[in-house]
Parts: sequence; C-alpha cells; structure tokens
Amino acid sequence: MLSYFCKLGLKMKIHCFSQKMFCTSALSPLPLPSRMETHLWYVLPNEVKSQSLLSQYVDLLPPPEKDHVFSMRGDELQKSALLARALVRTTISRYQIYSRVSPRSLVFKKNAHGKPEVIWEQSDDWHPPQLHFNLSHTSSLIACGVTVGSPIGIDVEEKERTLKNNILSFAKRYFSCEELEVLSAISDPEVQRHKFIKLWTLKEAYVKALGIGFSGAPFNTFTIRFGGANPNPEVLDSAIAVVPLEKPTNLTTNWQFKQLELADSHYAAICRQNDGLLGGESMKVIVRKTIPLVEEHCVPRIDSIVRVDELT
Amino acid sequence: MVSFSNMGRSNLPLSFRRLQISCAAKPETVDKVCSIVRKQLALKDDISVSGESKFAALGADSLDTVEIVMGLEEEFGITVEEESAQSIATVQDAADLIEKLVEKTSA
Repeated sequence: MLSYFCKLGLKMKIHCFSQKMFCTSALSPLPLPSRMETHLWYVLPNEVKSQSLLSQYVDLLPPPEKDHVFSMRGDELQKSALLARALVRTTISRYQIYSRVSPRSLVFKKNAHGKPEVIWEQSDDWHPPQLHFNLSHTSSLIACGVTVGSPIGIDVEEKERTLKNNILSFAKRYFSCEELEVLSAISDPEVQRHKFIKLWTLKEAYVKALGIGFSGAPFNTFTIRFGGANPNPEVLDSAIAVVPLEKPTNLTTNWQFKQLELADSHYAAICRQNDGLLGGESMKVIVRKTIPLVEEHCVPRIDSIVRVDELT
Repeated sequence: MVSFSNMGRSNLPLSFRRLQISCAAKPETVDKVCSIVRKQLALKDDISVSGESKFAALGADSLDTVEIVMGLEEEFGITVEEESAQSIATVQDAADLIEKLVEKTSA
C-alpha cells in the first residue's frame, strides 16, 4: 500500500506518439481532448489488488451506485462494477473543467434509453464543457472513452471470446445480409470469429454513440462496411462506414469509426461524429492505461503510417 | 360448469386463458430460462438463479443477453423482436415474454 503513495509523488516521463508528456501526480489536471481527439482510458482489474484502494473507490460513490455495485453476484462482478464507476468518475475529474469537480461530486443520469450522462452544475459564470463519455467493460478490461463536442460510443470485447451459438446462425439472425456474406466468405474459423467480434464491437459502439442501444437500432437495420478503394490490412479501421438499410430511417451516417487492440487481449471500437474537421484522416485517439487515483500512462499505438523512428 | 380446481388450461374457456396470460409465467418456463442463462454465463454452482435474478447482476453483457435471447428463441420456437430486448431485465421478464409469444404463436 505504501508503494502507491510513493508513486503519487513521482514525475513520470511518457512518450505518446512523437510527443513527450510529463505526468505528475495522478490527480493533476489534464487538458480536455480537442474536438479532433478522442481519449480512451482503460483499467485492468487484475492489476488492482489493494483492498484499501478498492475501499477508496467505494468512498467515491453515492449510495445508489454503491447499492448497484453490491447487488452484483460475486466478488469479481462487484469489483468490475466498482472499477467501472471509479474509472468514469476519476477520468472525468482529471480534466481541467472546473475547480469544484471531484470524483465524488459528479452527478450522473441516464437518458431515455439508459445511456449515462453527466449532469453539470449550472451557474451564471460558467458554461459546462461539451464533454461526452461512454463506458464498456469485460471481466478483464474496463474502458472509458471521452470526447468534446461529439457523442461517443465505445465497446470492448475479449479477442478470445467465443460464442455459445454458431457464428453464422447468429449473424443470420441478428446481422445484415452483407455482414453475413462477409463472415461466410471467411474459411478459417479463428479468423471468422475475430471478424465477428470486430463487427460486433463496431455495431455496439455505433448504437451506443447514437444513444439508443440495441433495441433502438436492431443490428440488421444497418451494415458496417469495411471499404475504401485500397483497404490496408494493417490498418484496422481503414474506411469503416455505417450504411442504414431501411428507408426512411432514424439512423444517421455522419459517424466515424476506429478499431484498435488494447492490452494485446481486447478489440475496442470507438464511434464518434464526423463533423468534417478531420477531412479524410483517421480518428486521432490517445490511449491511456490507468489505475484510478494512482497512476496512468499513455500507451503508444502503432498506426501503419507511423515509422519506428518517430516514436523516440 | 367450470371447475376452478382444474389446473389444466385447455378445459377453461378462452376468457379464462386470457386472464392467465397476464399472471406470472409457469415455473417450468422460469426453470428453462434459468438453465439457459446458467449455461450462457457459465455460472458457478454456488450462484443461485431464480425469477428475480437480473441478467446484468449475473454478469451478462450485451452480447450475452442477445445470445440468451437467441437460445430462448430456439428453445421455445418464438421470435423476440430486438425492440423488446430492453424490457427484459430479469429471468422473470424473459419467462413472461416467452409465454406471451408462445400464446401468440399457437393462437
């Protein structure tokens, strides 16, 4: 436990893409993402072992959230639920928003479809930031995406996750015809399974970004298309687009997608609005691995375009 | 003359059958849902599952929930519209919806 307090006093030098970043204590403020950036934070439950740290997380929560955490069946699920709440509260508080925002003071509500949002304090001399967030978790990784000026949806899934049902039967029932064709065309079962998981996370990220969920946008009412004239197999997200299949439709298409791998163990999908600022460029994502209240570090990502010497 | 001690539904007039649809699902239906849920979530034996159990509290994520619904569709020969997925929070919700859909299918 003492080592955690020692780490709080350390200055950490961090390389992130070609930038050098200094990270002091875990609680020093961070600039909000620009309108062109998406921040993705994640925590690995296996790395959080200290009971006293977990108690600190419980202390951050209002009674209804505590009740929810302890209503989960079993220690692991309780820990996961607790980390998810701790992650979202500490992450939002890390940004230079307002001196009175702290992990404990944040208030959340759910929209009509159950998507969580922040309720900002209203005051005459302060305009709340247009901060959007979205959470996703598996038993082994919990992630929180943050944007400014655009709704965001994220979904994470273990790469090795298997379906209890047959993949093509599942896709026939729930996905679009085009997606079923794409999956059917893959002969290697492992490759097919990985493609399924990538498709699932992208579709989930989209309906979560829209804020209407699976019920509001059944998965067979839109196709996720991997396209572009010359898709580069090393770039996971080359030209991913959403194509609604019904007319008329309440599904909008001005959305941008990013697919990436986290911790070598998970596929993550991010969906945010494409407001034309980025032109044809792919989504700029800054990934940070964290232990809430304790430490964080940027995770450098290898995009196909970045050369090795640019990382130093 | 209708005998109220008769537990078999087929002897009751249609109006009585409709009344039963709005009551809780049969225990056998709830049990079947519990076993499909247990299998999907690979629950340890010490975790009990009953009508009141919430899918989310058992650790079901969105993919698990859809897989469970697909398993229920196959087991009961029904189609559950995706729009209904949001209304299913507990095992009991699923069982009640199944019986409603089974009635519709057989009517």
